Amino acid sequence: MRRVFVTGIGITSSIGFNVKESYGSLCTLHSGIGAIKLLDTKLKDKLPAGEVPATDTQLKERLNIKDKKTYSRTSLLALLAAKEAIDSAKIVPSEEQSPIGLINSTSVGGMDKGEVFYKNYINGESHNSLKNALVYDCGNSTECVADYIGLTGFTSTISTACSSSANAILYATKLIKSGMHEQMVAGGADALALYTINGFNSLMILSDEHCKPYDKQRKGLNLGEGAAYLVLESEEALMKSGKKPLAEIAGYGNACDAYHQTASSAEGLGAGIAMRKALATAGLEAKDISYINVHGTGTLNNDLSEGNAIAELFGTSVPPFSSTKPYTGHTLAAAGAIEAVFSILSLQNQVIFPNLNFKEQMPELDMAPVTTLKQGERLNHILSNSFGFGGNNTSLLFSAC
Amino acid sequence: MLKSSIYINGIGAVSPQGVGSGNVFSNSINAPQYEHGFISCIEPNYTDYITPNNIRRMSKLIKTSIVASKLALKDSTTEKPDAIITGTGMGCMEDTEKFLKGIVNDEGSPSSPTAFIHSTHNTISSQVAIALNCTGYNSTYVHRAASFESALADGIIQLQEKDSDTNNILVGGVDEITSTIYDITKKLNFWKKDNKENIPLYTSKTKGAISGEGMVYFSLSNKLAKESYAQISAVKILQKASSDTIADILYDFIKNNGLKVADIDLVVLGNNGDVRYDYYYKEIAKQFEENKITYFKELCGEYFTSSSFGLAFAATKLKSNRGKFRKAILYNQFHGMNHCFYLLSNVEV
Repeated sequence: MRRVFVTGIGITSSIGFNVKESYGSLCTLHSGIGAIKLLDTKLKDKLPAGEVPATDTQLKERLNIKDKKTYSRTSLLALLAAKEAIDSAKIVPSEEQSPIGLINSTSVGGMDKGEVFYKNYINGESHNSLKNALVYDCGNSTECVADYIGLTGFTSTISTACSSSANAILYATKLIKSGMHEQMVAGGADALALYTINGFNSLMILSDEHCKPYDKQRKGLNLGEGAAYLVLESEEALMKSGKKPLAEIAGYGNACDAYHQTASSAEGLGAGIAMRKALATAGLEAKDISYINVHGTGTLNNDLSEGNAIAELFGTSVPPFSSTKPYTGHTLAAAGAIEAVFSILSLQNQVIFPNLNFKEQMPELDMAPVTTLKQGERLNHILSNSFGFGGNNTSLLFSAC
Repeated sequence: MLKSSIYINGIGAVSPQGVGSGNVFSNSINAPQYEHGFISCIEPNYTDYITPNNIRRMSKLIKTSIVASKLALKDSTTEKPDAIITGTGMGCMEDTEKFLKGIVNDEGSPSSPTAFIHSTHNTISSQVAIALNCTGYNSTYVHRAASFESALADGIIQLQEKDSDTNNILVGGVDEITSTIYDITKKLNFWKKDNKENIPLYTSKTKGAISGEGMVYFSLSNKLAKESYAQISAVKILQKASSDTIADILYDFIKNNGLKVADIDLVVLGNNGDVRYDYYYKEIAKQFEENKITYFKELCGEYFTSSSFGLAFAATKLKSNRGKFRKAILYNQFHGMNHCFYLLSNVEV
């Protein structure tokens, strides 16, 4: 099987508009979570979130978009991150011999515009906002990215809730491994929307404080928004260009918990299978893992289930682990790709970003996350977990080059 | 051309033509009624497939998808699939609308999470996984009129992976239509203005298509079985293509698979009667003798995953005409985007 490498990364979230700003925030323990300022929701004084500090108009200015087309906020976030990924990989779409493919992902797509449309629609005023209805579906943001960047190869969109972009990276990796493609862009985006904040609120899993994953006193998750993309290339493409890769995607695993629509099984069955598959595809053993960027949402259910799966797999030698969601909030479909970028930054800089806000260990688990910035670590192989509603569990394994 | 052989060994469908397996596509087919403006599925007797508790909680799309997946497995005599992959252009619209309505009326207030839980796109694949107790690979594709093809392309890779223990998978194309979605998409000029009676779609000179819905799952395998319908020899998906080049793309597709146009015995086209975009199909049709060409959209209507109905239709035709049809082409597009070509081969069992 062919090896697959990461040659470009791009990211936008509440802790930075690009990789450099994000890395700065990660190292200075700066969280992007705070009071909601842009989303017009009645929940804004009750629930903190990780908002990208720019209006849609400001995002368009950053992107130099001047046309009158309607863009969902999800698309605008996607464009910023995808552009950076392509630029950093130094590939020029139109000049490549085989077209670069794109696997995008999102959980609610253009819902921010869809809900504006729907409100007008049921009030009988839809004629003013039909353009908003056109950008509602998930495929729209993918089309925007492909058009803006000039990608003409195979294009598709995945939606597996909170593991969406991890699955996009997994699928793009397999397309290269199978020999069908040489270069792919993969990632995902989600903007905050009334739909998701009210949806997660109805599930009663949002915390009114800053989230504290893996803490005994954890109260739930904070939502966030953002986007991240990786440029993936085959070994052959790298040999041709002589480019130095940032990391290797050595393993991946996808499994379904097949347990409950929103809850994970207490023992973390699907999570365990996904991590084992990732190790198996990489030809590695549990002891080879130097760090886990855990899913760690901060809900009672996730952290217990994921923690049990980790304990089951790693036994008494659990590697250092942390959740970076206290920095960005849970960015839903974008989380897998955002945390993939963080994992790659960890490998490149040999640094572990801490699990902010952690104080007290969970009594059910014999493990605690890393709580301070750890530099000068020897990190070779990193697991990054992304688990979604419906038990859609995916684990990616990144290796240093 | 695919690296190894992939077979359609089972079909399960909830469709405007009825509920069942290949029989849905091979019985004498009826032109459906669309008195509400759109073509609806004939709903199954859910109690045969789903517990009463879940029948109450689940929306039509989830229930019908579970029924279709179970029918496909039964048709292929497979007990449990190794992977479940679903394509849906729009996902669970009924529950999305239900939850949105609550937000419009009373944003920020506590509400029931049921509709929200059942509205995420991936809920279909995961509810099917729960119903079948399948912990294998599970994914969902939401790429407009190439949603089903994306799911299929992923499934084909799974089945072709060396040293993998993935041999039998479920791949589905599912979309539902609701009155609201019909009304909104009608405002967006997707559908014909006056469609109260059956119109001969393939000679239509008016704008818009006829709206429909359907849920079709395929039980795919890398092994030929006595139940096999057909072999999927190749799939090609293009985001965009111009009508000037579409015939060349078809020729290359056929040539790259070691065939000539004359080798194709059956051509299944996705014409939907929309005069604005049907010229793509006309370009393809011109390349073949007229008696080889057949259509399917007047049977199921237009929806983002209607090509799954087309694939089942074509595969069933091959199965019931083993000696007559050896190679079949299926071509579908939507609004001049998401062009999908399939090459199917008949099998000997």
